[in-house]
Amino acid sequence: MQRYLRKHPSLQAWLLLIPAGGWLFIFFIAPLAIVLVYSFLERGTYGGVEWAFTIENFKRVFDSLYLSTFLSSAKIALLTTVIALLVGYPIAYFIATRPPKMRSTLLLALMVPFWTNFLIRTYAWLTLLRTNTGLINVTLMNWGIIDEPLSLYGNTFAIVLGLVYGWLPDMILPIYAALDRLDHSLVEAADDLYAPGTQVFRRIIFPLSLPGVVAGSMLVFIPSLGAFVTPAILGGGKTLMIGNIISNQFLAAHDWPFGSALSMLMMAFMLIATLVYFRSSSAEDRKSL
Amino acid sequence: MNNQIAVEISDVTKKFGEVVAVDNVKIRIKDREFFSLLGPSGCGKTTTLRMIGGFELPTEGQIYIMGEAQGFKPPYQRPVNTVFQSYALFPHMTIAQNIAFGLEMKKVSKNEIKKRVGEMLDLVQLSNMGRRKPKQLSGGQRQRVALARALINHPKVLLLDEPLGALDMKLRKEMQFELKAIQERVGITFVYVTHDQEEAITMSDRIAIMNEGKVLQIDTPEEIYERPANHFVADFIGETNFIPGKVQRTENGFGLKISDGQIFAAGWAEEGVSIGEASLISVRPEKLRIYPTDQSPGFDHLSKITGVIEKSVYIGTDTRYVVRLTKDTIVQVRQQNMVSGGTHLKEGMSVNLFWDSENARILKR
Repeated sequence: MQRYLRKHPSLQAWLLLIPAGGWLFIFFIAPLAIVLVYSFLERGTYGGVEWAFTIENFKRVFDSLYLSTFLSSAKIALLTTVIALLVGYPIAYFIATRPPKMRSTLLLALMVPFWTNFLIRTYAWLTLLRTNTGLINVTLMNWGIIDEPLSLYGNTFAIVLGLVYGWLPDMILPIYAALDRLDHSLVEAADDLYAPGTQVFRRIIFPLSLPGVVAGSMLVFIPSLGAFVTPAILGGGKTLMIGNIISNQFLAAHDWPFGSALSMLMMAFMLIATLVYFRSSSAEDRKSL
Repeated sequence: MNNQIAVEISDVTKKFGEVVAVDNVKIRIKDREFFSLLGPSGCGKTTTLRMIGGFELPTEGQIYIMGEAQGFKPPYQRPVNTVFQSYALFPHMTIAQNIAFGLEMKKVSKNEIKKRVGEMLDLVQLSNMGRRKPKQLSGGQRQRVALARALINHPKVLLLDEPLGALDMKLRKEMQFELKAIQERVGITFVYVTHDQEEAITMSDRIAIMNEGKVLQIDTPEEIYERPANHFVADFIGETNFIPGKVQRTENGFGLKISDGQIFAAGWAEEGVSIGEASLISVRPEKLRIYPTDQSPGFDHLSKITGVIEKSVYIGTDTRYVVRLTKDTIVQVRQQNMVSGGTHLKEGMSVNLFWDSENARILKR
């Protein structure tokens, strides 16, 4: 057997691909194929599917009701990304400029909250934000700062807050990595060439940390767009995102094919957004040559 | 070369916590001079350079550039520019943008910038490379870009931190001459940090030898080689013999008495060496002439000592001899092979060594 393999290196390569390839097939390609196939089938009465081909699901997807939910989800995801970037960049910069020992402590501190289950942390926000019994409103009213409870819950604000909170480390870490990789002598060189601090940041540090910014933004935008736990809990059932509609199709409405079609639409949107981004960034590279 | 002082490092000490990186250094660098800071790694040369540039601030002392105290001025307020060890070119900018950066920050007009960038690209022979990115250039080309990016600002002093360190041997040699030529053309003071003695000797007008944060000698390359001021310098620069013995007065000066009682004459002694003290003589291998004891070359004006050839190695241009003077003293002698085969002496031969006592220096251990 061994001798046979040694004589046929390509066969050896194929054999070595089996674990990783098998993993990808079972957990990525196959489920994706199932979703794709289901999206073209008719719904079963109690969930599941009827094996009859239809494109009705995709027609429904472009119904204005769903499109507008989709659009508002994209807006929420975008807002989340922008806020996470504005909050995360300074934090990443702060950590990256600390002495090495402190850096690892701070990075650890960043991780610690995530040892607790995401669902529990989201409920924790609920107890803080709730309109009449939430800790923030109760405290502010007791102190007499406000008379009426603020509406901190059941709206876009609460969802964006929850999403930013949830995905902030995914923004901070890639930016931190990019800043950490930055050759400090470049900053010194800019310093030497008469650039004041703001210019050093604008012309050198920020452009060179862009790969981290882009990676972070993707890592926040994509899960935010598909989020359903956060809007389900903090949206108070009033503000829905596309993720909630998809999960409802499967769990409540028992319309698996339509849920699949919505999923496909969301994936297509993300794929296009990603491609457009990479196209434009590589065009930028070509232009500057 | 005029005698104006471009950089004065006045009693400067730099401590990093408990560690003294630069210890009470005094250096005066003349205008338009090619001045090198030479020493092994960790000797404080780079820290000294960085203090001139403003990247580090002295713990004690003051640095003057063109007569002006620099105090706590940040790098961008000093009339100096730096060529960094790793070049530190901005990877996201083109070569032209890199070179233009300093002028842009100084808000020089666009036309002026364009003109001067063109001139600089010509100066460093990269006229067609302006639109490329740093990563598309070879090491030597990047080095020139770094030079151009600094020189375009017309600094009073250019600081160079081991700029040739990353280049291969051949390119390094070429760049040594090119750097020197550019320095003469632009007429700017260069302060050059290196650990490569050959580089420093080839290019510099003067060299400061540093070790453990202290300056051990400041002189021309020739003085430093011919007349090292102390043990470290003699050892660090070139090859030398260290012959141990006790300091002794002689008829026409002094020398060291080696273990068999012979006197090794010297023409100079380091300050603080006293008669009777155990000490060292430094004499370079090529300063010793070797003749069989049965010949008399008539070098009556030279000092003489007797020994036995222990080893003789022919290496083309030279022959190297190891001559044993006493049981525990050997010296290396280097003799040029002037006439083919003629001067090659055999091992075991009894020989006299002759030298001008000016070339032998008594140094503290």
